[in-house]
Amino acid sequence: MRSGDGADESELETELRRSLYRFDCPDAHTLGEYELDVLDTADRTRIAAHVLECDECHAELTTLRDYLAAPTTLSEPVLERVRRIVASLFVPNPALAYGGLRGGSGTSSRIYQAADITISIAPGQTPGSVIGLVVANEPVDGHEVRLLPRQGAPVRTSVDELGNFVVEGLASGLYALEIELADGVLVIEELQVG
Amino acid sequence: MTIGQLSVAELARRCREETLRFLGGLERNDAFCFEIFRRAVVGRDDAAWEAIVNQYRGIVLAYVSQHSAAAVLREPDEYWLNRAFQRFWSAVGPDRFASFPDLPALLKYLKLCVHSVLLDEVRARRASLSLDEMPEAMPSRLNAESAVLGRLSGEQLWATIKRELQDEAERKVAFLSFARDLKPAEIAARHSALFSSVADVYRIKRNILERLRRNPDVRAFLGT
Repeated sequence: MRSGDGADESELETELRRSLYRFDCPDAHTLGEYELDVLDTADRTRIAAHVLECDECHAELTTLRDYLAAPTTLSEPVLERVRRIVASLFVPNPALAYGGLRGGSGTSSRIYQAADITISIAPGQTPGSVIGLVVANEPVDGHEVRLLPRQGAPVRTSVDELGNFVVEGLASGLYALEIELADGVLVIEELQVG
Repeated sequence: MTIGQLSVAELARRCREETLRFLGGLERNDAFCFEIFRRAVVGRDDAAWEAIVNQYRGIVLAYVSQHSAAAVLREPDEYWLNRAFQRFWSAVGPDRFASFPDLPALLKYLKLCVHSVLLDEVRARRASLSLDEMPEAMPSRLNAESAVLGRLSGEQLWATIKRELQDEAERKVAFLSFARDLKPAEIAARHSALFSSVADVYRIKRNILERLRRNPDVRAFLGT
């Protein structure tokens, strides 16, 4: 054999493998649809026959079965996107003056912060009412606000175009406050009413 | 108001609420999430599809990180996320939606889409290189169209090659070498009744390659 032939045949073998590797096997997605039993009868029968003869497809199906059966655990960073964004109480610098919330019944407003969102909460003018102001970089008008008592159904309202909300008719007690955001729920975990 | 009358935004909000309940170990109502899928798939509603991608992005990323192939292939998770959603969108049309009875079935199929986009890449890289070299391979960025074309051309090429092969031993060596990427030692071990030794397989393979190298149809087909 001439010296050039070896290199030529190696290149030919590479090209043959590139073109022929598992050419007769169903693609991974079709194999998966076979496993999930969403194929029609003819395809299912054809693939079943192939899998009996093909070690590679048999191995791939085993891998797929184990993968589909394995429980999926969401990592903390992923869960954060789905879960609650807990706001913490902001303690202002005593040197600064805070005039309270317009419409509030005094200087008992409290300010909560979470990321770039600030929520001011104060008792309303009537007993059992709460008023709030949401300041955020994203639009929040129309977003739902819920006050959840320790027992009983939540009381719902929504943020208006100025970022305000009012909830009335609340019994005295401890509530959680939730505000719907674009990609989560902002939560004030404990809010005393009355 | 029935579920069918709710806006996509409201459905997305309720879907997120129910998903939070599920993550908290509570019972959940799948109807809202299922309805978003129905509107996206059957109604081809863009807003509903966007809601699905936003809602299940985290779960699909978890599916990716769970798959053994993801670490080997070394592409950004976002790449597989986008490929998986594209695969789901193209595979599940309005006529197929009825075959998914509930939300868990849809999410299982979404997980299959993650698996299949990863395995497509594994197969494509394996076809380009030997198994030992595969982890260092450049991405093939295989798409569905090229996969179909690849399969058709493989069948045609194999039909052409078979005409050059003289007996069962040659057909076995050619098929297992090129279509299954087996080494001569593996072929000899699997078919010891057909091949007396590894040297036998090497000899047959050399003869096949020599013959195919001179075959104008094979060379034209491969563009070599």
